[in-house]
Amino acid sequence: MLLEVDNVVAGYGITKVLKGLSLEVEAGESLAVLGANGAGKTTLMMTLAGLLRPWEGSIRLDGDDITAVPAEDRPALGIVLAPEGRRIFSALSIEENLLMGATALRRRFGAVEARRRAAAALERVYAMFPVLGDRRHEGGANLSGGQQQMLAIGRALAAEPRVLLMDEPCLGLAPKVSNEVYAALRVLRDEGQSLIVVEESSRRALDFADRACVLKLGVKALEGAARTMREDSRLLEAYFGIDAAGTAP
Amino acid sequence: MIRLALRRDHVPGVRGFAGAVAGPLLAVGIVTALAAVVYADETMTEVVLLFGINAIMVVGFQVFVGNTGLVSFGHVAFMAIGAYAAGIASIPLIDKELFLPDLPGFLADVELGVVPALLVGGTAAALLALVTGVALMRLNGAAASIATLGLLVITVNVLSQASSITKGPRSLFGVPDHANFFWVFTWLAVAVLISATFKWSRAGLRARANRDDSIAAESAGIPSLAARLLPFVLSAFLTGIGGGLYAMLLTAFSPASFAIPLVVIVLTMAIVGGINSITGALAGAAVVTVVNELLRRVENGVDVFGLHLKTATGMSAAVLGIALILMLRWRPEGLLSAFELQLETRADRSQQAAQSPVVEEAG
Amino acid sequence: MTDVVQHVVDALSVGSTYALLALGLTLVFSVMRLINFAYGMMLVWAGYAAIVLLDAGVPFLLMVPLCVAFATVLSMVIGRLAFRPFIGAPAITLLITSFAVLLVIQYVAIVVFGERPRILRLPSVFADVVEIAGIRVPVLELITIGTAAVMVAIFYAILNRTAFGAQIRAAAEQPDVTRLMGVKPDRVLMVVFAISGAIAGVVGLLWFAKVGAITPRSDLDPTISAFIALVLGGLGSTRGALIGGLALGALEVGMAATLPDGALGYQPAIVFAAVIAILILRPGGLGGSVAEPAR
Repeated sequence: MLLEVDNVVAGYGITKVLKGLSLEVEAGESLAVLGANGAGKTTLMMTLAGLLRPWEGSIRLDGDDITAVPAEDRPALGIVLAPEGRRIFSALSIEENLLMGATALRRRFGAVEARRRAAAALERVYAMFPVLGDRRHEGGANLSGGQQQMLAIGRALAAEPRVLLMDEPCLGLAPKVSNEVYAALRVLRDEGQSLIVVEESSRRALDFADRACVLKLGVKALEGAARTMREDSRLLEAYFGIDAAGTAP
Repeated sequence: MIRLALRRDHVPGVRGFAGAVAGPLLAVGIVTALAAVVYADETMTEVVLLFGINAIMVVGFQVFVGNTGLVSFGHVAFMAIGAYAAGIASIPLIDKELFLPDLPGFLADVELGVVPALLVGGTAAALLALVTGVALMRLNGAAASIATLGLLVITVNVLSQASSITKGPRSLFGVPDHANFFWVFTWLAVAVLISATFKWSRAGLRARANRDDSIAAESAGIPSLAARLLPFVLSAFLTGIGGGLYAMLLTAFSPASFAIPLVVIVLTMAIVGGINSITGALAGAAVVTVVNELLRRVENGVDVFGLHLKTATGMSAAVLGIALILMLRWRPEGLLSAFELQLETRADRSQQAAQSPVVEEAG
Repeated sequence: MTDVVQHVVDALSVGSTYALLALGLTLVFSVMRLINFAYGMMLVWAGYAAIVLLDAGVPFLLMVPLCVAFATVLSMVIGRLAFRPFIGAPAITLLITSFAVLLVIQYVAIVVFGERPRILRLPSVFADVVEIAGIRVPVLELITIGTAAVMVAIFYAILNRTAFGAQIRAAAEQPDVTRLMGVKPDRVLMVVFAISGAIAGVVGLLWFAKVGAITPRSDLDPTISAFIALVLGGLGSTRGALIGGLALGALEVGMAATLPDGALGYQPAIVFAAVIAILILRPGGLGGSVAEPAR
């Protein structure tokens, strides 16, 4: 078991959002996390990334308890979040954005090896997303939404994550672009990358993932093979408020 | 049955409003009584009077900071203007001829008693605030704070230059020694009354609503000039009166009397007490005065267990500095946070359970 | 005509010190939202360090790097002990905290060095005036301008060509996301305080070389000037810091040159009033379109 989330309770201020959430991801598996607005999806991502400390419960990576590990130490352990809204650095160039993502490599592999891997990571990302390669020295702000998402994915990949967390990768993107994003995610999945993808609309996520779970009111309400849940899309819509049609809200 | 309470808001209705104003007044009463006891000791008269004047300054300062959320480093400018205006207005005619021979006509013929002179001082400061506030209160956050520092620099600079009126950088003598216990603490009560009345008035509520809005919007929102200007001017008025009393206490001063050390004292007192509370302003002034006095005795040399302790000047400032840092770290909202002393009846209390309060302070 | 050129050189010299100070302030501000009231005191400490070293017989050329190193370390220590606990605190708290820090380190200076002024005695070449194409220019001003230019170049090189610099820019823009990349916020903070301290060290030497005498209360002028330059140029913008500093220098020298004698005493007031006027017209500072880092 690569990642185990065990009965996590977490929230902001005095508001409890996650109320005892448990889930598991195997190595090489891709998990889709669905749920209506406010169900706790982003809170889950923040907690997994370390930006939020759970009040109860634990998180284990490969058996090691990482619950108390601060956010800046998690990429070195192999758990990397591509946050909601892409959040690329407009003050940095595309290449600098990617290299920023590779920062954690130094701690994992030492300076020399890290530099080699970072260079390799750059090449891989540019091969996957040629647009980024063409404009590698331009500012991150000049990219379209879809390109920014590619950059965000590339930036997260640069850290060589063991588990890649993606929070709503298609937020605000046109359908065609969203398809491209998921095509890229498919490539990663096929290469064996473990992925957790949070989505509000279910269609693409369920098409893509191996397994899926649905959050409701801060707990896991439904879980199963993605394919099975795809067939029950009306159920999802009715009980969980999930937009099964897959159009951007 | 009237009881005391510490609350952030007050019981709704006119009675609640009265209770909310009466509370701080009661606090002043307590403070005054305690001060009177200490005043009986002849060696402490200056300290007590200074305390009272500092308390007026802090109350005045709090009116601005508490209601707008902006830190002003320039309030000492209002002290200075108040001091000079009240001072010059009250210098007896004979002395005026002696000390200020170059005074322009209408000023040379004026000699005012305590109350009118102080009102002149307060008004002069309020006018300065009005004129500069129209510009300064448009600025946001840090820019506003730094601009208020500029206000101090400008005011001190102008006062140092206008020699014919102020004797420039040299000391101004001859201000009558009106600052006695009665006047200082009466004006403190007046200041608290005005401050409390404003705080719970509609204008005060609006100012604080605007403050909370700005904090949420950071630099995105446009600050409401009017909502900020009124507290600024009112605060200047009170501070100016404090400055006038300060002048009457010192009887001789120069622009150099109004420098950063005063800024430090007032700021520390306000922070320690809690910048959102009038009761806090009084408490902060009291606590810091006591601590400062103790520290100054150590600075001047004190005998502890046969050891003579003496430190360099400025130690009290340094200790205040450390205390301030610790305070900001562990209790940034100050001793009283946003709580005020209030008078209420038992009937009001149970009514509370049924109704929601007038306003919830963000603290 | 020669007068004008002389004034321009004056303005550049004065303006570049202000620009450097604003740069030091804005760097820390962009990462921590802290406007450091104690910054001027760093210059004072650098000046005192210089006096101590020179009195101990340390040769001038060795004294300079030692002084700058001292200021750098001092800044990092203060940053770690006094400011780090306040990361994320509201701006008011930070401002007042820095005020409190000033009180403490000022007191230490009073205890160690006393309140009487000390003179910074530099090699006599600094007091010289050279003549270039008929214009008399103080050597110190040339050194100031030259040093400032070099420092700005180094600063931009660090910011734009090193990994540290990229981390600083990233942290200034989005501190949370920067953490997600594995960058330790403490590390960034220390680097920022180090750079800002080094700047304070250099400017301290230049400042007191010009002013001559140091007292523990000599921090007020540099602090106020730095603040004005910072706000004039626009908070959080390095380009703004440079513009603000140079603009303030131009304002000051321009005023001093053009004010009639009777009004000369009012120069500080007029300069400040002009600054406030500019701020009213351009609340974001003269740095203009450079956006403030997103929060």
